[in-house]
Amino acid sequence: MPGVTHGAGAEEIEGDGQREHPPLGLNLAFAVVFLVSACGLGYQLVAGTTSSYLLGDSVTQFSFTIGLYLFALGIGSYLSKFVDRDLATVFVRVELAVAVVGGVSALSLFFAWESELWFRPLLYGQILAVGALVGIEIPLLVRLLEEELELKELIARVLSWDYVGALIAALLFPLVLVPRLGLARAALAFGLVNALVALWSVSLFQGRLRRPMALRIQSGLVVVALGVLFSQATTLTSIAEHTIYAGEIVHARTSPYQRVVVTRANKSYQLFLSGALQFNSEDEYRYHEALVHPAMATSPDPRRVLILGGGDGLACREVLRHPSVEKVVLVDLDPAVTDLARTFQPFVELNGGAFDDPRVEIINADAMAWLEEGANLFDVAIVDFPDPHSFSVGKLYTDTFYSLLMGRVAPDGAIVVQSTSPRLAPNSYWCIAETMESVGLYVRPYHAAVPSFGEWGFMLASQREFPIPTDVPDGLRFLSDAYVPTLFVLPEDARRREVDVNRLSTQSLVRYYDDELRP
Amino acid sequence: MTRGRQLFQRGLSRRAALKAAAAGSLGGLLASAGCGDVKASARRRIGGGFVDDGVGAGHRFRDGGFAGTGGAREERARVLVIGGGVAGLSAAWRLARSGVEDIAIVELGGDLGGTSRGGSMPSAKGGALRCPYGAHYLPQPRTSQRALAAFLKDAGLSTGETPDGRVAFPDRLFVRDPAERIGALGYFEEGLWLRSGVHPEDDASLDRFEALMEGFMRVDGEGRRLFDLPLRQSSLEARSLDAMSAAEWASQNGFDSDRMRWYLEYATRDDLGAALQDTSAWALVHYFTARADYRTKESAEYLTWPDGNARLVRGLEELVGPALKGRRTGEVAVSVSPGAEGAAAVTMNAATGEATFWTADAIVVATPQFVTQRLLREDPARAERAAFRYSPWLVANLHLSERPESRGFPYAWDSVLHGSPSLGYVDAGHQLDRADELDTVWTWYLPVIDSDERAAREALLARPFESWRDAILADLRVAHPDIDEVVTRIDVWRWGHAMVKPTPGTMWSGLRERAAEPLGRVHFAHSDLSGIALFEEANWQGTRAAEAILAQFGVDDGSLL
Repeated sequence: MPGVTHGAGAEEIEGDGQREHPPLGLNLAFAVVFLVSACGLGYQLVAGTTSSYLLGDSVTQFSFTIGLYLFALGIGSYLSKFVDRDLATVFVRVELAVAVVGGVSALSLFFAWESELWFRPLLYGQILAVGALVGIEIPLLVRLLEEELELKELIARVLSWDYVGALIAALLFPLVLVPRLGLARAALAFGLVNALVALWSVSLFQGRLRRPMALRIQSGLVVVALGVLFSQATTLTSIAEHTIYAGEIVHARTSPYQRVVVTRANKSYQLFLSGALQFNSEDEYRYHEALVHPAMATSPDPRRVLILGGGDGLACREVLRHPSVEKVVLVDLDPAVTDLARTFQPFVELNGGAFDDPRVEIINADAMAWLEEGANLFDVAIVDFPDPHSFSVGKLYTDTFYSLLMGRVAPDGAIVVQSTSPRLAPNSYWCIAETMESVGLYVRPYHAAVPSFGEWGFMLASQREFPIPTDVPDGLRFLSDAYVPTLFVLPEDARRREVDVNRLSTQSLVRYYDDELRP
Repeated sequence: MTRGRQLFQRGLSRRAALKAAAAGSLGGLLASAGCGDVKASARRRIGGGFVDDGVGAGHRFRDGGFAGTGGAREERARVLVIGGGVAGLSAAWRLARSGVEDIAIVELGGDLGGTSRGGSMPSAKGGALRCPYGAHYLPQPRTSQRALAAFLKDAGLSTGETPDGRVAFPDRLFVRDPAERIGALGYFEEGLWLRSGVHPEDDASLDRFEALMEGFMRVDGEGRRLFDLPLRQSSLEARSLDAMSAAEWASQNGFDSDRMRWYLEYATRDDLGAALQDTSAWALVHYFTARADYRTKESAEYLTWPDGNARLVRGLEELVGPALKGRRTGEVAVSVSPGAEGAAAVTMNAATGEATFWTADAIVVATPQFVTQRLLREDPARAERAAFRYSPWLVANLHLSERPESRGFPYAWDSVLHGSPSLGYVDAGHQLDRADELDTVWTWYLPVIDSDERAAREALLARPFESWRDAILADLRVAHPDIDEVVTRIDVWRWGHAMVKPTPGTMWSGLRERAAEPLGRVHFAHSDLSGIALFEEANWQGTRAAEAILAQFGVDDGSLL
């Protein structure tokens, strides 16, 4: 190997190794090469997968990861020439550093994910650090072994074990490690292997190390620390919200209002807003048919329709099935969601291009502020807000809000409100009914089974008394004229209970919901 | 997560105690400004400055700068109101309500409203965000507060009355939930009683305190509440409490722990602008009991607006408007002369020095007593007026491009910072129907409770804006480490005399009644005559003065007192 020279100081330790040190167990040394390179590839896969998982766009993420990692390997190889002495000690130390940085990589990325500012610097910093450290290791191993073997034999065997290691890691990672352990623990498992290799190397390079006892203790500590993290990783990652995503992330964006994430699993798409599932394309038709058509059937002539929330365009799709509709105004706070519904192809297919329909007008505004400003009346108002999980959403379920809404709906018009789950959150569900009734609305509570959500609830209301609707469009996938009335029969476990009206000054709904559904 | 909270709890009480020891003085706040400097970039970016007015003209008046007024212009009014704060405006409203016309109001400041003034800051989204410069809420009154109830009805704010005898309002005028939270070491909890690291004995103390207060929520043999609003209607029974300070009362009742003292002093600082030792025990108990329903013991809800009580000032102005002959701001009163059939006054434009000689059938002097004492040449209550003490306050409005990260209980209307000499901040955007993610204004309050008010006042006025900016940001940085990044502008209002102090022995000694005695056709109205700087009391004092004038005018229109 050109450029490998032993400095004067190194002579004492490394010098004529063959005479001063016992010969290295060659097979054991190649096992180290194998493990080190398997782990190195492992971290690369962890980085690529974690970033694809969290940021979406796997092509870009894997390209960046592989390119950066190989480049960092080169940096490490170059840096190795500056290691002139204590080769074995440096090797063990580097191995421990890889164990720590690589081992906690996925876990730390999960925690940094919420931060727009820190996530990418951390991700690329980790890739560079792990790459550079692994890049130092292989040249060091070659130099440690050069006394044992002829160069051509040495290079051939080191590199072949190196690539075998990569193959094994590449096979184990998707087939065993990720499915069995998950990303965070897979990375920790690689870290543990690195730390154990370090511990093992202390015995392997016995006699070539300056302070073997200290290194052994350090390695032991790293093994224990990673082991503890490994055993706690499930708890730790469950703290980081995104681990609820079961599918592959295909779109992720942080808007000023929320985190917008689209995942794909089993050929279906899921939209999450700040971690809460909004729909699953597999069964969203059940939810949206149940939300829209009973209200449309209650208005005698639904021509002007107001949708509050519903930025995914799916409720709009159902509304547009009614030929009587002349105008749809959709008010959703977040342009990040309405833009997604208009431009993200799988969503456009799902909502049938509803937002390109000339009858549809989209307004990005706070629904409460918007209701106050205007005066024109609607025949049907469809209220599809997120669940009342925070005080800022809770205000959209108050008596003040329903009074404002009532002022914008024709006297014979219909209002429908998505109302959480009557089974999981019965107090919340009935609080919405109570609040709507408190402003003088006639309310008919109903429900539908939506597998992704479970038993889901709605309130159908009008300023005048009205019969249970029966007339829905033909050709729906979930509702039929015969089935609709059954939605208005509530099971015993969802029966009405005594609850307070939700007011701006009390926000009792947010408190009910928090009691009932906060994990 | 619970584990993290427990860690906090352990370290807390000692450090909170140390900080509490520093609380209560201007020095405490300014000392803390040294730790954690504002970044140079933030310094360059953060705009703002002092927005207060009237201080210069007031001092010129005090120092004799407006003496010798030759060649005055003459003006006549049916009633001249000197001082356009809530008491003066309430007097004008009450007079106008009974058909008195040709009322003139002169006010030293740049606008009417006194310590209930408000303003606005430019919003990043265009337009302006309203914010208060002083008082910012009104507890839901009882219908027995007849003057106030009548005003709120006249102003179109109230909708009737509730079954339990309170004035009714639309729900959106009440403070939206969540109302209050308290933060320590950067972690917030709901409410005002800090539970982190609380000693079980503190909780027991609080229970005992609340039970004591409930005991005070009752009526005497004649059906008068022990602690009432209007304050002068309170029963004679508990008045002996005025003899001692709130600090002595707390000690006598065993409320000695740091946590309990902080809680009690937060109350006196917030509502009375005074330290426990400078507060009458009667006033402390009044604060905790006067607004509650004495039968159900339920406390009152708060009415508020983005610019606080400036909304009520607008209501008064609208009602007074048609009866006004003149409305002058930036006009300083120089002297007032009572007479048997009328009264005279000299006022002067603070900018031009142009004097006006007023004659009126009656004058309402609605200025605080430290001003009033300089207006009267012969004043039988001179000694009484000289005994009034006032706390300086600093009110800062901070425009934030967005709300910074906050840990623990989510954002509320009022965020109290445990252990801080400030009261924390009120979110002026809390009552708005706009998205919480948009920009907002925080109003940060500092009551300066030092016992040497004069020295504190001088220190307050001497400090440059930059020093206040840094101190305010340092105070907030404990709870919001990245506050510097989101603040775009700070408007600072310095109140030399923000609140009268209800000092021990002055609530029921007769001092305030003597200062309120009219001199012929000159009547006095100000919340300081009640001893507590409340909107309710300013309104009552104004109504009282106006009704005395109506009696002198021979107008019999019933009484709202």
